[in-house]
Amino acid sequence: MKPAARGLRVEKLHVERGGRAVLQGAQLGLPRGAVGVVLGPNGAGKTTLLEAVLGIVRPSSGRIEIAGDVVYDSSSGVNLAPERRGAAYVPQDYGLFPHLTVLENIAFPLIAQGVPRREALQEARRVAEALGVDHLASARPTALSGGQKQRVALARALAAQPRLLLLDEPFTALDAPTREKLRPLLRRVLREADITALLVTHSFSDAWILGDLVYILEEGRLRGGVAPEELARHPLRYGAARLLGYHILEARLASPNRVKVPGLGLLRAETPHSAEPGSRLLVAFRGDDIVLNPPPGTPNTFTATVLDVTATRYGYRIVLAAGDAVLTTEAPRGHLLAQGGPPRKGEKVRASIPPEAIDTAPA
Amino acid sequence: MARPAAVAAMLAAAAVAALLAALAAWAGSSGFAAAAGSGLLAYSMALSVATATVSATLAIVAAVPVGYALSRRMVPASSLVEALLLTPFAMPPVAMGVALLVLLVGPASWLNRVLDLVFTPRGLVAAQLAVTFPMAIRVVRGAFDAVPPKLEAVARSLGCSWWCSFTRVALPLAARGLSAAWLLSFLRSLGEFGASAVLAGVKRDTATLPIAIYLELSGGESHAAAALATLSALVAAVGAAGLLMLEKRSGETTP
Repeated sequence: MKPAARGLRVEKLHVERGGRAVLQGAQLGLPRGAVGVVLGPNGAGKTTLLEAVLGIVRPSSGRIEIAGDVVYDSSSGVNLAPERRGAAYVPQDYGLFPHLTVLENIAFPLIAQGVPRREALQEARRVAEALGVDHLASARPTALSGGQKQRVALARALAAQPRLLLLDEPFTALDAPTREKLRPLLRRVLREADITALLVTHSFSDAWILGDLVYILEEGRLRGGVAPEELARHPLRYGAARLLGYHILEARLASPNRVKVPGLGLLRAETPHSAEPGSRLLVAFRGDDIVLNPPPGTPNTFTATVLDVTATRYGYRIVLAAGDAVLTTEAPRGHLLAQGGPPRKGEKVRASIPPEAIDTAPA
Repeated sequence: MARPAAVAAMLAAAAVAALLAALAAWAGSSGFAAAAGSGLLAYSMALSVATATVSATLAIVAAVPVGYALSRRMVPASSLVEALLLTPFAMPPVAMGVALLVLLVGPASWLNRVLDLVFTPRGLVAAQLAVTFPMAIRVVRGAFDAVPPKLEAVARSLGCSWWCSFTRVALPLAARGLSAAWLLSFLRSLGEFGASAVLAGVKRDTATLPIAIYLELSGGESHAAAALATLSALVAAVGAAGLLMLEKRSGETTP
């Protein structure tokens, strides 16, 4: 089951900062060429994890291997300097050198590693072309847009020919359209270069689009290490439901694959084999998986009262009350217009949740 | 508020201009002739610029590692260390001169035998360095504070050693701040009197501009003293203009 982890392996990593335990026995394994995404709320220790792998923060104990080489091991005292780890770092604000041009930035790792300046600049131009920033070669970083900075930072990291790429919130500072364009670009570049990458983010979209393996970092502990589809299907199992914004409701097992949810009635959903009828369960589902006004006969249909309707970029955000449960869903505009417009406040509506969109776990 | 504030600024500038004009008027051509005739004009100017250049350069070279270490908190009890390093800055320069003199004729007399500092022109450099070093540390530290440590982390992750990231990232990005620190140290050294007078003595061979002014004044040559003072004002004006230029341009490449 455990991946060969020739890309990156982190074992029982403990990191303290200012007397506070930030990482507590973090475990992580990425096969070569895989993209690992660490999802976590702000302050969970995501950046600290990157800095420990990078080698600028010294862990209190544990072990880190990059491409099969031990770069840190508390038991044998190994602690390689950052420049000898082969892990290129792209921080959240891209970390471009403001005193160098774009091309000099990209050539920086080559020049630092002793490649003659002429050759280094030539190679940098090639990498710049691959990332579509060759026309900016003589510009200063301060003159670039966020998306351009991101591409230049990526080009510079790739020019170093690293064994591991470390990306801190790569898209957070970008506007939505730029983000939508850059995510596929990063994905393509990582695939083509066959580079192992570790990306930390609080955005599930980043994880979904880029991640081969997704980890959840909460309170200093890493969980998961599964494909994004698996994480989305079983968020309760990996402790990710709250982080991913799922609705979490208490329920009781009525019979195998039937749960009784107060306010929503009897719902069909895959339930844990071990659970006894009558035992308490948690059910989790995404608000956006709620279907409004489903066709008659749709399973898991319930009645709810509309508490609030607000227009959004994609359509309408609708807040529903079903018994004590308050559910939020977002419905596309076109979908609602086809049904005769968005529901009104106070209106009673029918809603359903597809059985396969519901995750359950013992409470 | 806006108008009175502008008027206040103009008045302050006018006051300085009036002061300098009065000085130059008192000096007159006869004052310059007297100062030149006594040989002090050219000598004190050359000695001032030479000693201030050496001491400012030594101060910056020494302040770079110290300021960097303080900025990156590499020193244990860094606040305490910084307060100690800054103390001479707040001391009367005369007191600093006494401290240097006591040290160099007492416990560190071996150092004086090697470097020959007491009552010599070389002592001027030692006195200026002692007075400007704390200020240089302060400004250099500020210059490194403005360089995000993250940029050095990025450099190292790209295969650049600590020395490489220091020389290729930290130093170039701090360069303007370091230039400002050099210029400030140079100007402060030009004006240094108290510590220099005690350690190097008030005599013709140690006569920097301030010491020469004092020599002329105590010899009753007030016109010659005013001429030397006017000269030092001119040098100061050039330095002040340089500082402003550095400040103006520092906005362009700060990260």
